[in-house]
Amino acid sequence: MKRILLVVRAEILKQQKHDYHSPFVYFSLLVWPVLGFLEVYYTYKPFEITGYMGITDRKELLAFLGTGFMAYTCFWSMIQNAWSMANQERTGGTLEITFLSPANRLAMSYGRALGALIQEVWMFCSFCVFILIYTGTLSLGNLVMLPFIFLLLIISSTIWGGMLNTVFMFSRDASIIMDLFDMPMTLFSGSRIPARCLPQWAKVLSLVFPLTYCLNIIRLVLHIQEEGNGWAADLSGLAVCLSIMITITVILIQKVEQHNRENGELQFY
Amino acid sequence: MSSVVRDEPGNQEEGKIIARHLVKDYILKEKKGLFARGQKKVIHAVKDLSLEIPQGKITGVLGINGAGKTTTIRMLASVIAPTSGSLTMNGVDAVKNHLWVKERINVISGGERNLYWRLTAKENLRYFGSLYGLSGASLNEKIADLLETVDLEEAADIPVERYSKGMKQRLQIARGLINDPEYLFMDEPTLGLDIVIAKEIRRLVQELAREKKKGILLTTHYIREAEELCDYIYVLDKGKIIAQGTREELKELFMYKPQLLIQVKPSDDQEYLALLKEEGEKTADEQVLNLLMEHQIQVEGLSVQEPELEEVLMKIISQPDRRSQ
Ligand SMILES: Nc1ncnc2c1ncn2[C@@H]1O[C@H](COP(=O)(O)OP(=O)(O)O)[C@@H](O)[C@H]1O
Ligand SMILES: [Mg+2]
Repeated sequence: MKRILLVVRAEILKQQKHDYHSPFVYFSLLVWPVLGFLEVYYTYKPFEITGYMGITDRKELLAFLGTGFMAYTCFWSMIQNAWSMANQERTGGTLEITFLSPANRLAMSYGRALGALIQEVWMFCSFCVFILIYTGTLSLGNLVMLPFIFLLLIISSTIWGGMLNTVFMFSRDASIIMDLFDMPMTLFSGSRIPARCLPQWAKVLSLVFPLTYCLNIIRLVLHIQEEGNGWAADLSGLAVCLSIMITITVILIQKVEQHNRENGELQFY
Repeated sequence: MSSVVRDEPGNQEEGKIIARHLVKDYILKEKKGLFARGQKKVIHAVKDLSLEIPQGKITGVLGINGAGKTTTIRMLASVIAPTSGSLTMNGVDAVKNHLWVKERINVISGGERNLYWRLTAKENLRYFGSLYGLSGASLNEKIADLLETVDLEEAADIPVERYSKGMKQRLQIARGLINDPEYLFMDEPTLGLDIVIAKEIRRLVQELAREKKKGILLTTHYIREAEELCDYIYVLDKGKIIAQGTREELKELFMYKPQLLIQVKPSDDQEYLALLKEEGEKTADEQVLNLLMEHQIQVEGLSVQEPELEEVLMKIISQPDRRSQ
């Protein structure tokens, strides 16, 4: 167990050192996401009075988008990071070297995800928390919910990211995942459009993404856009979703090792 | 990690890696357009290889590009599994217990890859050390020790991307020693390095075997390097061992008449040729040199031509009674 934690910690530190470079990195970590947020906010603002999407005032719209963007960024950063790290580790030859060690492969996968999450989203998440406080969604009364929300986001996106990392180790051609997941996740999981505005088939699709459940739960505890399902349904949905992803990860990582031992695939780039 | 059952514990197998009849076939799926199913193609990278790596000794595998050196190393180091054959380390089945083996070995390849370029030497070593369960003060001590061994103390906190080739290679060696392996595999460790650095690395390799008692397997395509370093040499060609023996045993095989190349001023070469004709065939180098001095022809360059590995391979293959296994 101690060795597993050591590997996770090493991955987090590595990520941190690896990404630490010029101040320009703040553009991708903060400025672009904020601009994206503003774009959507000003697109929706004219509809605010119509009551479309069940949102009737500006503060509620801000809170809705604030939570949506916060959760979405966590999940999206996992996709992006899995892709870029997999490329770098392959071309750098370090992927094979890590597999040369006896280190726990799952710990490497999840450690990388957690490291990227901590490194890449804290700034934008701070911005979102600021929005939530500004709109009065988060107040002294329900501030205790904040750690809960963070914990929920960290656990879910790490499990999601660990799976993606493994997928990218498994196949060099996994970049299609980027395209496969990006749009549907943005559209269907309710980060920008409330699920209630979606047609039935899209609601079914949205059940694939853990982001959907996370958002429902977060909005529920913050009393934004309360939907009918309630706690239990979403929590158990999330639990099922995460267990499936862990199972996929465990199976896939065994396959990665097995394939590498047969074909030496991790050396290619 | 996992507990390990020793198959046939015997003194003969202690302190050694023993490979018997290792075979590695790679299966390639040919790409043929989008829809046509490509045919499978089998590449026989290593065919029936048997060798031993004793601790405290340097074992060499000599071969040209594509001979199967890297495949051999990757198999012996348990990175890839052999298609058939047996592999034991200190009497333990290395194919079944590859994670157990991985605790006790390490691989160093020539070239600049296999490091995180944005991290410093220390950060790299700390990361790789953690993968082997090392931490805290003992890891820091080890890192300081290794940086001293490879003489990178001054560059310890500089990102690797700023390093020269030789420095990267030395850091790779430190990385390969981080888990204090019993066996070390070095895949063309002096590839592309200039003479001084290559010499330095050879000295280090020798030290590791003689003083630290590590079992070292080293691949190379330089005959001289194999001769200088290795206690026992296997010559590999097209996935097969075509000759093997100690340095002394292979001396005859590697023996060659060093050819002395003498370069004279272009304006003098006619005169020199005329002289040679006059004096008859001069075979001994000193005779030729004396002749040049006598006639005051200026020598512009002198060099000794090394034998090509290809020539040696041809020699072995053409011998009817060649030593093969
Ligand atoms: N992972 C692999 N998949 C398919 N073929 C490979 C792979 N690695 C090496 N080969 C092939 O095996 C042969 C031996 O290669 P290698 O072991 O790299 O030789 P060397 O290191 O002596 O240059 C070559 O023909 C090479 O193309
Ligand atoms: Mg090679």
